[in-house]
Formats: sequence, C-alpha cells, structure tokens
Amino acid sequence: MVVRSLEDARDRDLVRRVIAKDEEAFRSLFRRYAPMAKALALRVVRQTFVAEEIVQEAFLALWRNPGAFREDRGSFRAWMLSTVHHRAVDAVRREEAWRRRSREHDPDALVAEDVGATVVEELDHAAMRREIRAALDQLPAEQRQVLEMMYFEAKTQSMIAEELKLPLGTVKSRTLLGMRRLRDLVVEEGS
Amino acid sequence: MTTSDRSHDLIEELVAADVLHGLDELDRRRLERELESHGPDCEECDQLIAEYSEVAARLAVSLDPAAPSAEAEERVIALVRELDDTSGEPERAGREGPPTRGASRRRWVAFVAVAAAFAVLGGLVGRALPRTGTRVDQRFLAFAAEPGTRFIAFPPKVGETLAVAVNPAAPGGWIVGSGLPGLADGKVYELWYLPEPNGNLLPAGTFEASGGRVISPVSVGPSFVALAVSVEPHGGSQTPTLPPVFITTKV
Repeated sequence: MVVRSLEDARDRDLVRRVIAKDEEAFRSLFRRYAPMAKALALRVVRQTFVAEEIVQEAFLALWRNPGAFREDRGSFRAWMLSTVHHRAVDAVRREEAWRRRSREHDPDALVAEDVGATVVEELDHAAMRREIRAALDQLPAEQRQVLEMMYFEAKTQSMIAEELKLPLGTVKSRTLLGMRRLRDLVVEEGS
Repeated sequence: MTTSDRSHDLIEELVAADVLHGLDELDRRRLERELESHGPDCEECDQLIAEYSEVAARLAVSLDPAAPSAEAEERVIALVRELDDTSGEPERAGREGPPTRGASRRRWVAFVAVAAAFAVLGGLVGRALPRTGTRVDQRFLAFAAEPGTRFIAFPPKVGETLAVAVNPAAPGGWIVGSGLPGLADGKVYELWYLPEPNGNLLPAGTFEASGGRVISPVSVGPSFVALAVSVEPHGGSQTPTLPPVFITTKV
C-alpha cells in the first residue's frame, strides 16, 4: 500500500465495525464522506435530487456488503468515491435525453445551492483540496481537459476523441501522462 | 524491459483511465483479461490500482463539498434499519396462510412489505408515498401488506422511478413512482400489460403524476410478460398511440 495515514487507518477500523453492523461507525463514515460524495455525484449528474439518491444508494451498498471494500486495493475514501462516481457515470450514460437537458443547466449554481445550505465539517480535506487544485493547475491544459471530461463529464476515451477530433491514441496518452503526474503527487505525499 | 514490465505498462495505461470510468468497453474487457492473467495476488497490480484510485479520489476532493440535505443522514440510517428488519424476518413476512386481522399485526406486515419495496426499489418509491396517511395511502399499504404482493420496477431513469405492485391472489394492482415529468394539458399516463409474447398490449388504467408522484390503483390482468407506460390523450386509449416512456419485460 502506498497511501497510509491516520485517516485511512481510522476508516478501515470503521469499516470493520460496519461489518459487525455498528450503526455509529456507519454514521461516522457517512458524516465524513457524504459531502464530498455528493459534490462528486452532483458534478457528474448535475441534479441535486439524483446526486443525493446516488450517495444514499452507495452508502446502503456499503451497509449491505462492507466486504466489497478491499483493503489491499486502496483507501476507503478512494473506494467510496469510486463507487459513487461509477453510479453517477452509469446514470448519465443511461440517460442521453437527460444529458441534452443538462447542457442548459449551470452546474456552479447547483453546487452553490448546497454548499451554502449547511456548514460542512472540513477536517483536513481543505488542505488536500488546495494541493490537488494546485497539481491540476500545473498540468498541461490538454491533459487536464481530457481528465476532466472523463471524470466529471462521464465521457469515455473514444467519446472524448470524437468530441475533440483527436486520434484515440492521443487521448489515451494524454490520460496516462496526466494521471502519472497526479500520481507522483499522491505518492510523494504518502511517502 | 522484461515481459512482465511491458505487461504492467499496459495495465497502468488501462487502470489510469479505468479509475476515471473512462475506458471503452473493449479496453475495459482487455484490462480484466490482463488483471486475470496476473492473478489476484499480483502486488504490482494492486499497487497500481490503489495509487490511481487515490488519484481519482483526489479529483473528487478537488470539488467544494456539497452538504447532504438536512434529513439525508437520518433517512439513510432509517433505511439500513429497515434493511436489517427485512432481512431478519423473511419467513414471517412471506409466510403462507391467512393474515392476522389485528390492527397492530397489519401495521407490522404493512411496514415489512413497504420496507421490502424500499429494498427492492432503492427507496425511491417511498418518495411517492404521501407524508400523511390518506385513504389512498392506506389502501396501497393494505395491498402491499397482503402475502404474495410483489413490486415490478421499470428500469429507472435519472430522477424518475416507477413500479407496479401486483398480487396473483388479488385483482388489479397499484402503480407507484416519483420524479415523473408533468404532462401537457389533456394528456395522461397509461399503463399497459402484454398478456402473452405474441399478444397485444392491453390497457391497465390511466394515471397522473401530482408533483411528480403517483400512487394509483390499476387493473393489470392476472398474467403478463411485459409492462409499459405511454402518454395518451385524457381518458386513455385502447392501444398505445405513442412509443412507451417506460417498458419492462422483467416481470
């Protein structure tokens, strides 16, 4: 494992307690990760109601089968956010008609509506947020664009190639180069 | 460079895109094959997946957090309790024989049945239920509480969920849903059922969505192989006049 931290260790302990049906442990994980999970789902699906439903379903899935989280495949945070992202991407790709409608929405306005609604416990995520934003800023624009289209707009590599009128190989290489740069940051941080 | 190194280069390229859920289907299958060929104990594969998953998580963390609604936490806690209650009482909930007529027993059975519906339908149908116990609400709960009642969910659309509750021992059924788009004046939703594979769709009743919600009795036949919903003129049609907006053959 590369990423080891007190936060990670605590999460793993909480998941083990969830396996034993400890409701308080489940509640702790929900409080800690629901805000960032909802932000991610909202960014992808762009509908508050749907985003909240996706987060709810992801946490229910955790309660039903906490063993699906494999400790040898990364942190709980990465797993939970991947679960939420997968559900959000599925929702978007299932509903092409929705996608057409969503282009008329202003995603920033939707995010602002929720952020202002409740004070969110930030803990140390604010520092992490600054770091990843700085790392993204340092990426060549064309690499950042591909990563953001893939992750936040639920597009596959071939969809991006078509939209940007680029060879598929170029999109793949930009993906790998961009992700490698970001990985260097994460690995440095964890060492 | 060894064969093994080259192989991990390919896996790295695929994993880096897969953690963003950006692989096309062919490449996703290719990744699965590659990972399988390395076996479940390949530490380098695990490390690549862990590291790139963390990168993807950081992209999520880069967003400003969005607080869940005030009731979200209690709702999810209530749902996990319902899941536990349901999974802990399968025999009692599905037991054959005449139901006890006592009020408390009936409420309990209704609760289990609706909880099961929540579990099957991901909680979305619960949004269709009125906050207060109206007459319609109670009739639906009574139907849901009958032994043998099952819920058939249409494939959900984003923000739209619809299901039909049927019971082989009871005529009719109920349609429940949420998030349905409002219709133009003079239009209604109409439910259809297909009694046999080569038959014709038969009407099972019209319904409207109030505030996006529907909870309405319908008249589905005793057996069917598919269900569909279309938008029809007020009063309904004898055969669908427009393509279905919901359809399921998983009945």
